[in-house]
Amino acid sequence: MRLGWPVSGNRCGCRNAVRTDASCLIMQGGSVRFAVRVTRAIALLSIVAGLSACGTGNQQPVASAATNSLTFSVNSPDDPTPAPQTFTASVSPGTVSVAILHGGSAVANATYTLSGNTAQVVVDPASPSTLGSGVFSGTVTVTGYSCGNPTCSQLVSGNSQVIAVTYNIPSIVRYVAPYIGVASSASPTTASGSVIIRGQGFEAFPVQGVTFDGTAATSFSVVSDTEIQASYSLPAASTAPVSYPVQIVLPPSSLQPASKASLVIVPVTNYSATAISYPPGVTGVEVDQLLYDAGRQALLLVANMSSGPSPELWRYPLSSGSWSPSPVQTALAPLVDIALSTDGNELLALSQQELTELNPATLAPFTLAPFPQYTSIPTPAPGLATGVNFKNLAVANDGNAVVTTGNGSTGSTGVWLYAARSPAFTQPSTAPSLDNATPGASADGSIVALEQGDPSLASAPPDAYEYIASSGSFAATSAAINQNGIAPALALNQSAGHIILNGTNVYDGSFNYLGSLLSTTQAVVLSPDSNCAYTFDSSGYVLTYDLANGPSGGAFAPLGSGLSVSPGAGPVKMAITPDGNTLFIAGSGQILVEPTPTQCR
Amino acid sequence: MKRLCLAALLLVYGGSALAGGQAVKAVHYQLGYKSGDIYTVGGSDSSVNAFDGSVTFPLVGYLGGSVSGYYDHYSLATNFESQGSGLTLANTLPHCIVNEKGLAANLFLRDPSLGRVSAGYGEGQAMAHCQSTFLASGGPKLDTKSYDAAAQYYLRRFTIGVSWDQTRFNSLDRFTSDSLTGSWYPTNILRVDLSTYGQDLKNTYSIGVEYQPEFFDNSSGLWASYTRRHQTVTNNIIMVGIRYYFNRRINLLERDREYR
Repeated sequence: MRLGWPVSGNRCGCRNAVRTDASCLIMQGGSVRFAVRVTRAIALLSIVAGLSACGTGNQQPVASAATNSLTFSVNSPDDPTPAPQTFTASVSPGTVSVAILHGGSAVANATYTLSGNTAQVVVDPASPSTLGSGVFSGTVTVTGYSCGNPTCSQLVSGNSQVIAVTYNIPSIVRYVAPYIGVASSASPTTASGSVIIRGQGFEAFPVQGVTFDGTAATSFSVVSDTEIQASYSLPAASTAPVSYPVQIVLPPSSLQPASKASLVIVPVTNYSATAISYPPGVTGVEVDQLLYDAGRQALLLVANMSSGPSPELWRYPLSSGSWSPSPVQTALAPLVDIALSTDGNELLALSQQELTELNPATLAPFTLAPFPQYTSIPTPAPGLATGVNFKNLAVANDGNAVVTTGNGSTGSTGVWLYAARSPAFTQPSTAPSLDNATPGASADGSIVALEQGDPSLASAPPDAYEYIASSGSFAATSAAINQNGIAPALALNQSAGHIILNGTNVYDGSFNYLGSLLSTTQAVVLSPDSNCAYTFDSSGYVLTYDLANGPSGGAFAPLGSGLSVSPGAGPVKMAITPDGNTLFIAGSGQILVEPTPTQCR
Repeated sequence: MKRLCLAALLLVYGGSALAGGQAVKAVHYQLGYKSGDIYTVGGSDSSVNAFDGSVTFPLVGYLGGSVSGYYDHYSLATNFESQGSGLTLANTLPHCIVNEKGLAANLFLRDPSLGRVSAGYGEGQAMAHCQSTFLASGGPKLDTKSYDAAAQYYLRRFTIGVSWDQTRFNSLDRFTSDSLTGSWYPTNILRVDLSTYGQDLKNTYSIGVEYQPEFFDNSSGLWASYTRRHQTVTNNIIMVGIRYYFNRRINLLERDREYR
């Protein structure tokens, strides 16, 4: 229906043929005055009519697309972003403007190229790591607009073609911590314990259970979208580690999760007391770090020497019940610290200006081949200021290593996080600047304690900090202390825990001060159940403290007279097996393997 | 363009020839604000807020002129679906912001006892602030040039008007429309308009009313309109506005036929 023109005629031709004698007809039947007015009016209108031209005959814009939906899928939030998808959209003639808009979290961007009335639309999905786990939606809308008034100063919407975008990102189990479980001393064919499972998407889908290689957890609790606490009771082998892939159970209708985590159950250690010598010709060893790799039954040691290449990383494997007298050696000057990654699959070797991931079994640097997501190994320092070097590291259960820095003298420098599976340094907003801080992590990786400062500082001692793995954030603790060179010792579990700073100050798991150990302590470790502290005292004895029984007069007293040992002079480092049965004590002269004293077992 | 020039020449000639009459009694200024909702059936609401202003002035005898400008801010709906797609949408960016501005000049011949013939030229620019492309420009900005010719016939309390408009975009694309409008003044301060459009605005009908209350000392006018455009997709447009007249305290009928 068209009512827009008051006279007849071919709309695509000129319309100047208005009959000028129309007024005469009217005059014959009505008043002369009225007829004159009508004549004049028609004359006016005819001017306009003579000016009119043909239009283009456009229509209301209608958008259409070759598809109504797009679906993106990945296996987990850790996957790379899927490739973009493309669709074609077109609008009908009459469209003045085309808007191709996107919304919803699934779509990161939608770009297009326009050719005539046809658009090639490229839809870029968001990064899986940005979204996390879940089923995400988005839309891409193609809308045509047309002129809404004669001067086109008003636009009106035509209809839209909406393309629904669905993005499936299953949840993932990334880590289980501690990744080492131990067989029971009383029943070596079984192992039980509790772990923290870290991942993503635990609240995006209804978790119905946790399994260890198909065996259900005895209990579990979803703490957050990224954390589950679970307990297990599993078969154990008496001679070799057994690996249990960890998985969460979801309803069949949910996207099924991915898992990269395995719990390794190791046999009970019954290591005999022995001394492990350093390589021949090496003198003046200063031990910077001592680790026990329970999954591979090996000792790892960072040694600075007064002679020979310095510093070096030594690995002493246990073979046929004996510690190898000839360690695997590698030089990564200037190496300062080592730690096993959260899953134990990489050995993080921290040098002053870079971090290298090594094969814990061979000490060979990982190349890019087994880790296609890596862009470079080693990972260089994140633009540290002149004179600032990496100092120490400790690994949390979220896959991050907390890496401290120092400048060799008093002064605050940054603390960094290093993600082993996607090698890069990051610095969360809560990361503090600390004075030559030294970190120490609990076995379950839930907390990394950081002490700082210098004993010679006369001002008020600085706060100790903690990295809280569950939230990925740093916070000051209620403890304030100037560090003395003894790294924090932590043993935390779901019901209790102890933290020892400076080798002497004992706190509960919330940094509430409980009491002190002897001030002559030179090294300290905590038993996995956190009830026992083992120290190397300047008197040359390994001392045992029962922390489960409170201090007396503000001090914990050692049990018995202690175990006389001779690791050598200089800084002494200690390590303990996950079952708490064996101590390792390394000094300048040798490494000692000692069954833990029985007073506190 | 040639036709527009011809029309302008005719107007000038006519205005001169009829010297002694008066197209515009005195210079007239007005400023307006409007706000409206554009609902596309099956979709969502778009909105517009706009300012406009104009000055109308006498030239020679029956010849007058006007200059006007506007600035429109559109929030255009995007998140509605095609017919039958049946999709439930979530989190779609709901609107596309488009700003438009323009200036126009108009020459006209008017005999207040008879009617008005006019020709005009205007330039405008639209700028989209979303991922939007104007087909004529290939980008988010669209420049327009508009030509119009119109005539009104005054018949007692009725006005019959026709107009022809053509808007040209960056390229050779053009948008052409003609309209027929009938206006009725039940009183000197109230006007009711009925309009219908052809060609690119075919199947478009509009009803409007302007009221100039005397208790504002004839300084302000309130107006409202409803436009329905029915094609493949139907748009319903409701606009309300206010106009302020700076210096002429006259009734609406007089203002329309003797001042603007």
